[in-house]
Amino acid sequence: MSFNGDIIDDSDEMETDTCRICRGEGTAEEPLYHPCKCSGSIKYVHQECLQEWLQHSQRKPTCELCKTPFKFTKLYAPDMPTRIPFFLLAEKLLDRIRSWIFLYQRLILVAFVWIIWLPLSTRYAVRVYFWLSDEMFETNNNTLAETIFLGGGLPVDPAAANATVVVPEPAAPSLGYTIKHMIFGDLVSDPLIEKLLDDTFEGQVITGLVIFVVALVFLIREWVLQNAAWNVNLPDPVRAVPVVDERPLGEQVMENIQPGLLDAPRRDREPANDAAVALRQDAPGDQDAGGAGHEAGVIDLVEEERDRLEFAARARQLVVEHFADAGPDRPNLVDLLAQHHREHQLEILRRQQNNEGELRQRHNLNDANRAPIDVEDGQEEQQPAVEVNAADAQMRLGQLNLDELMNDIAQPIEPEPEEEPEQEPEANVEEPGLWETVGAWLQEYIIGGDNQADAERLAGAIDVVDNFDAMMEPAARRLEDEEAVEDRDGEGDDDGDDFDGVLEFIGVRGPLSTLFQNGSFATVMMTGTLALALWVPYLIGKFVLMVMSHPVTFFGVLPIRVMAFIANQGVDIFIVVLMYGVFGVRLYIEISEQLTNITTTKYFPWLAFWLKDEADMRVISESWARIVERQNDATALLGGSGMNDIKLVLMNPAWLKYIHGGVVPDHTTAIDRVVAVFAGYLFLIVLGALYLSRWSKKKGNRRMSMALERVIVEVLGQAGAILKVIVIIAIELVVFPLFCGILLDVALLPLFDGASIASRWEFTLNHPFVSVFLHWFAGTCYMFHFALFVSMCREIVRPGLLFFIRDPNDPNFHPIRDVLDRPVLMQLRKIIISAFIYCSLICICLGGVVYGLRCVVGGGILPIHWAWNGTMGEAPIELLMYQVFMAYLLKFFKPSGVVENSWEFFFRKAASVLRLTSFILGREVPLEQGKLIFRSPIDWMLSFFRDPQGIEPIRSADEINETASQVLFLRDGEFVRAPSSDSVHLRKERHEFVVVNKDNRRLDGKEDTPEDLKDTTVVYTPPHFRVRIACLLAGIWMYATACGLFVTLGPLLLGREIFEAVTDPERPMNDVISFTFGAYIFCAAYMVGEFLVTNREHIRQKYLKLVHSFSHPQEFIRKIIGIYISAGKFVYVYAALGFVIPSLLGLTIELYIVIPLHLYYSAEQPIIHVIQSWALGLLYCRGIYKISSTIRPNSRLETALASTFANGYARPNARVASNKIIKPAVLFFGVFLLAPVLIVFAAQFALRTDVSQDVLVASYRLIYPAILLLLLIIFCYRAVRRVCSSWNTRLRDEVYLVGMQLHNHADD
Amino acid sequence: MYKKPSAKGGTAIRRLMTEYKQLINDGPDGISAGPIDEDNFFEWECLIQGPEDTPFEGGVFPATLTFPKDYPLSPPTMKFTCEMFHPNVYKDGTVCISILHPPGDDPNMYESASERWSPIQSVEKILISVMSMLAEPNDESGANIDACKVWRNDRAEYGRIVKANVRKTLGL
Repeated sequence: MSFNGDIIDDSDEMETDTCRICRGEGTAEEPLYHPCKCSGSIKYVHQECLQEWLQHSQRKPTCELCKTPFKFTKLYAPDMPTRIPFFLLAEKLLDRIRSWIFLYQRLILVAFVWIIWLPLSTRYAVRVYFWLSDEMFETNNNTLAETIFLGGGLPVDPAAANATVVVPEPAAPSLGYTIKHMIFGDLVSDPLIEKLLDDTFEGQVITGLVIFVVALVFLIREWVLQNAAWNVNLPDPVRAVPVVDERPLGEQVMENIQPGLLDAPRRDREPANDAAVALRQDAPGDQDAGGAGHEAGVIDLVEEERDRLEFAARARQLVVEHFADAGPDRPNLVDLLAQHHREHQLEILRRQQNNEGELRQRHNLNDANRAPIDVEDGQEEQQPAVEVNAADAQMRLGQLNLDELMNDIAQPIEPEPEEEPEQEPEANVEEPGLWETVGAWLQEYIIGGDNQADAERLAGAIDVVDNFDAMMEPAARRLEDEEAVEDRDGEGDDDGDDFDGVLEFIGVRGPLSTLFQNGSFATVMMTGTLALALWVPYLIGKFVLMVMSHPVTFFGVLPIRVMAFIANQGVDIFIVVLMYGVFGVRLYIEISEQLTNITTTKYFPWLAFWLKDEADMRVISESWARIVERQNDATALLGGSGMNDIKLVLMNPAWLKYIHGGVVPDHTTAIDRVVAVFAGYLFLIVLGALYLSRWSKKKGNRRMSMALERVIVEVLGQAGAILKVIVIIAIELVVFPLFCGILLDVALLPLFDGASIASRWEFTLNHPFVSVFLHWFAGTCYMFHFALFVSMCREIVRPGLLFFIRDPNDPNFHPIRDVLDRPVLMQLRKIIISAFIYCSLICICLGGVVYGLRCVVGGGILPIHWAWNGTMGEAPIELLMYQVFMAYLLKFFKPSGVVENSWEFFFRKAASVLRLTSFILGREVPLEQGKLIFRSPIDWMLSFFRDPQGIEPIRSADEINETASQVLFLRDGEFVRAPSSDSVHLRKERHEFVVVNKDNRRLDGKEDTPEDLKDTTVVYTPPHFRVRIACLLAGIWMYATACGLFVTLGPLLLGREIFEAVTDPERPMNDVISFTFGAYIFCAAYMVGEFLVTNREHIRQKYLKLVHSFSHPQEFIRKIIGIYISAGKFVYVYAALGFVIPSLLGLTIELYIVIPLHLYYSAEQPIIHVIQSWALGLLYCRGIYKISSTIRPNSRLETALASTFANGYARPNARVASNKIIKPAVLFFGVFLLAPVLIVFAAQFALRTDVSQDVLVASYRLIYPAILLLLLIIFCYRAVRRVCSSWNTRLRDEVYLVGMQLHNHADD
Repeated sequence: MYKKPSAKGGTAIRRLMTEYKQLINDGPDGISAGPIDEDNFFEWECLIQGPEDTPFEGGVFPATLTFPKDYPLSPPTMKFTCEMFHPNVYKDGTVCISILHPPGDDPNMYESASERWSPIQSVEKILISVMSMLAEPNDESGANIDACKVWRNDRAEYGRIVKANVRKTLGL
C-alpha cells in the first residue's frame, strides 16, 4: 500500500467541510449535518458516522461536547397503514406471549434443578450413605450408643434380642418438617408429596450447609496459606532436610558433583539438601549490608538475593543441559559456571549504576566482600554449587527465600541453626508408643514446634519477622496500589460480565444442555463432598467405635455381615438385571411375533399401533398379558431354584424403600451419627499424626521422600494448620461467648419474673437452638461491649498500661498468624485465663450487683416487668417516641462521649487520690511522689490554705527530726520501668517493672541490653502499690455500679411512678416503656438545665434589655410584640408540621382505607381515634419523607424544609413553610377529605328526596372507598394506555421503520 | 435500519491519513507524529518536547501510539518508549490520561464524560493533552504511586529525578 500520493496531493482540502468523525467530505448520498451547537472544524458530521458512534458508546443521543440532544425523526415505510392491522397485532402479541412462556418455562426448569433436584438428590445421597454404612455394621437393633456403652453383641437368643429391641418411638419432627410447617402450615395433605417436600427442605438445608462449610474451609485455607509464609513451624521439606554435616563445604560439593556426572537427575535433586546450608554460608557476606538494619539495606538484600537466585536458576539450567549432554568433561562445566557467574556480576554492576550513590557503595562493598570467594581457586567449584543449591531452593515457594533470609538476619553468628532440632528424633533411641508419637506430632504441627527451637530463638525470630514485616509493608502496599491502578481500567464491564456468567452457569441463558450439565456436575460434586466429608468419617468412626467397644464379636461377626451384605446386594442387583433382561427379551420376541402376524409391514412395526383397529389392539394386549404371565412363571422358576424373595426384591428393592424413607426401621439416632462422624475425624487426625511422625523419622536418614509422599505431607500439614485455626476460632467465637452468655443469664436471673435455673434448663431442653443462640448472642454482645470499654480505657490511660491486653488496632496484630504461630496449649491457657476473668467479672460485677439489689431493695424493683400489656391507650405513642425521638436524642447526647468523659473524670480523680497519676495517666505529679507529714493537726488544717510547693522534701524518716519546719514532705515509693506502648512484645527473659532510678538506671546493678530498654518508660509507683491497684479496681467497679444504677434505676423508678399514677395499677406498665419515659424526663431536665447554664450570659443580657426597655414604653411594646410574633411563628410552624399535616394524612388514610376495611370485616360502628391517627400520620409522614428523599434527593419538599429551618430549628421561616408546605398540603388533604362529603351533600340536595338516615350514613361511608376505587381505576387505565401506546410504537418501529433522519440544529 | 460501514479498517485508515496530513501541514510546535511504517497505519511514533518551565524542559520524549481497528470509535493507546517518571505514566510507559479512556461510566468518578475519548478528539489533541499533562500532573488518578508521592511531598526531588531522566533520554 502506498498512500503518499493521496496524502500530499492538495492542500486546500482543509477548507472544505469535513465530518468530525471520519474526516471525510459530504457527498450527495451521505450529506453532512450540523446537529448541535458545536462549530468550527467539528461542526459537521455524517449521519451514519454519528449513529455508529452513538451505538458504539452506548450513550444518550447528545453531543458529548455541547450536550445538545441530537434530533432524530423516525422514517416509516411509505406503505405503513395508519392503524396497525389486527392480524399483525395478534401475531406479535402471540410471539411475545410465546417468548414469555418459554422464558418462564426456562426459569421454572432452572428453579427446579437448583431448588428441588439438587437438594433432593443430596438428601437421598445422605440417606444412602447412612443406610449403606448402617446395614453393613448394624449388629443388632440397638442404637449405636447402646451398642457402644452397653456392649451388646449379636443377640444369642432371638427372644432376648426381641426384648432388647427398642420400639422406635415416633421420630421427633425433622428440621425440614418443622420449617415447612412454619412456612406453609398443613397445605399439602398427600403424604407422598409431603414427604417429598420435607426431603427437599432438608436437602436444601444440607446443601446450604455444605456450601457454607466448603466456602469457610476454603477461606480459612487461604488465610492460612497467606500467613504460613511467616509460620516457622509448618512442615517444610527444605527446612527439615539439612542435617549436621561436619565436613567442609567444598568436600560436600565435590561429592555432589561427582555422582552427578553419572546420574544427572539425582544430582539435580541432591543439592537441595544443602540449599539451606549453602544459603546460610552466603549470608554473612550479605550481613554486612543488612546488619545495619536500614530498611533500604534489607530491601536491597532481598533484591540481591532474588538476583542471585535468578542467576542461580539460569546456572542450574546450564548444569542440567550440560549433564543432559552427558560428556564427562567436568572442568568445562566449572569454567562455564564461573564464566556465567562473572557475567552475572557484571550485570549486577551495570544495574547498580542506575541507582543512587549510597546504594552503589553498599553493593560494591558487598562485591568486594565476595570477591575473594571468586578469586580463590580452591573454592572455584564451591560457588557454582552454592548457586545450584540456591536454584533448588528457589524451586520451592518464593516465600522461602524471605524466610531463610530472615533467619539469617536473626542468627548471624550461628550459621546452621536449624540442624539442632532435627537431631532429636534420631537421638530418641526408644521406639515411641502410640500416644507419644501422636503427642510428638501434635507438638510439632499443632502446638507449633516450640520444642524444636528454644524460646529465645523463637522470640528473636518472631521479633525479626515483625520488624521485617514492618519494613516490607511500604513496598507491599506500593505493589498493591499499582495493581489496584492497573485493575481500574478493566473494572467497568466486570459487574455485567459477572452477572452474565452467573446467569449462564445457573442455566437461565445459554444452551439447555448446560443447565443439566451444571446441575449434574453440582450434584456429583455435592454427593462427592458429602461422601468424603461425612460418609467416610462416619464409616470409619463407626468402625473404630465398634472395634473399641467389643473387638471379639466384631472381628468374629463383622466380616461375615459385610460379606453377606455385599452378597445380598450383589445378588439383588444381579437378579434385577437378569429379570429385566429376560423380561425384555421375551417381550421383544412376543411382540415381534405378534406384529409379524398382524401387520402388513414388519419393518415399521410400531406403526401398527396407530393403524390397526381395536381387534388388533386386543391381540396385542392379550399377548402382553401372556408375556407378563410367563415372566411371573420365570420368576417363580428362579425362586424355586433357591433364591429368596426375588419378587419382593424386584418389587421393593431395599434401597428404594430406604430412599423413600422410614420404611427400614431407623435405629440410629442423630446424636449417634454425630458421635460417629466426630470419632471418624478424630481417627483420621490420629492417623495423619502417625503418618507425619513416621515421615519425620524417615526423613532423618537423608533419603528424600517420594513426590507423592511429600504431597501427602504437605496436605496433612495444611490440614493440621486449618484444623488448628478452626478449633481456635470456634472456641473464641462460639464456645467462649456461649459460656459468657450462660453466665450472664445466671447472673441476671433476678431481673426476670419467675426465672430460675431449672426453668432455663427446661427451656433449653425444649428449644435447644433458640436457647443456644440467645445465650451466644448475649455473650457476644457482652464481649463486644467489654472490648469497647477496654478500648475506651486505652484512650484514657497511659499507653503501655494495658500492654497485657492485645490491642486489636495494633498494626502488628495478626490474629491468624498468632493462631498459627503459637502452641495450642498456650492459646488454650490464655483462653482459660480470660474465661476466668470474664467469669469473675460477670459473677461479681454484674451478678453481685443484681443479687445485691434483690437482697437490699427486695421486691420493690425487681423483677423487671417485661410483659407487654398492650400499648398505652389506643395510640402507639411510645413506639412513636422510639421511632422519632430516639435518633435525635442519641445524636444530641452522643452517649459514648458522655461515658468517656465520665470515666476520664473518674480515672483522674481516683489516680490522684491513690497517688497513681504517674502510673495510670503517665503525668508526673511531684506532690504524689511522697507524703506530707504534719507535726500538729493545726498544720494539717493550715495546709489547705498554703502552697505546698514551698515545702522542702526529705528523703528518709530520720531526717524528720533534723528539719525544723512544721510540715515535711517525705519522699517514698519507687520508680519502675514499664512498657511504653500497648503493642510491646512480651519476652520471657525481660522482666517488666524493674526498679530503676529516675534516670532509668537499674538499681539491682545488672546491665541493660538495648532490648531491655526498648519501648519502655519510667513511672512512679507509691508504696503499697498492689493495695492501691486493688483499690483502684474496686473503685472502678463501684463507680460503674453507681453510674449504672443511677442511669437505669433513676429513670425506671420515675417512669414507674408516673405510670402508676396514670394507668391501671393492676396492669403494670412494661418497664422498658417506663424506663424510656423516665429517661425522656431526665434528658429534658438535663437539656433545659444545660441550656440555662451555657446561655446564662445571653439570657441575662436579654433580661437586662427587657428591663431596660421598661423605661421606653414604645420599645417595650415593640419587643413584646416581637416576642409574640416569633413565638407565634414557632407555634404555627411546629403545630402545622407536627400535628395538622400528620393528622390530616392519618385521617385521610383512616377514611379511605381503614374504615372501609373495618366495615367490610365487622359490623361494628367504626370509631376514629384522633390521637391514633395523628400518631400513625406522623409515622407515615416520616416514612414518606424518608422514602422520597432517598428516591429523589433535592426534591421540592426537601428544599422547602431546608429553607424553612435555615435559621435553626428555633426560628423557622413561617412564610416559606406556609407557602411551600403547609398551604399545599392542607389544600390537598382538604380536597380529599371534604370533596366526598360535598358530593354526597350535593347529590342529596339535587335529588331532593328524603332519604333515610341509614342510607345517608352508608353513602357517606361508601363515598370514600368509591372515590378511591375510581382514582385507582383511572390510574390503572392510564398505566395500561401508556403500556399499550409504547408497545404500539415499538411494534410500528419493528415492522415499518426504515431509517432515522437526523436534523440540523438550527432548523426546527 | 442503518447499515454498518463495510470495512471498519477503511474508515480508520482514511481518518488516520487525514490526521497525518493535517499534522504535517500545520502541526503545533513541540509535537511530531507519524506512522512508523507506511504499510501499517495503526502504529505511530511520536515525539513530544518537554514543556518549558517544567523539569521536562529541554527533553524530547519518544512514544508510540497504537490505534485500534475501529478508530476513531475507540481511543488509541500511548506508551512512552523512554524512561518516564511521572504520576500519570505507568512504569512501563503507558500513559494514563482521561482523553485516552473510552467513554462510559468511570467507576471512580474522576473524569467526566466530556474529558474522555470521543471521535471529536484527534492525535493532535492527544499529544497536546499529554504535553500539558507533563506540565501539570493530575495526582487524583495516579498511575505511578511512587511518582505521585514524590511529586506531592518533595517537589525538588521530583524535579531532580525528571531532569536525570531527561538527560538520559538525550543520551547525556
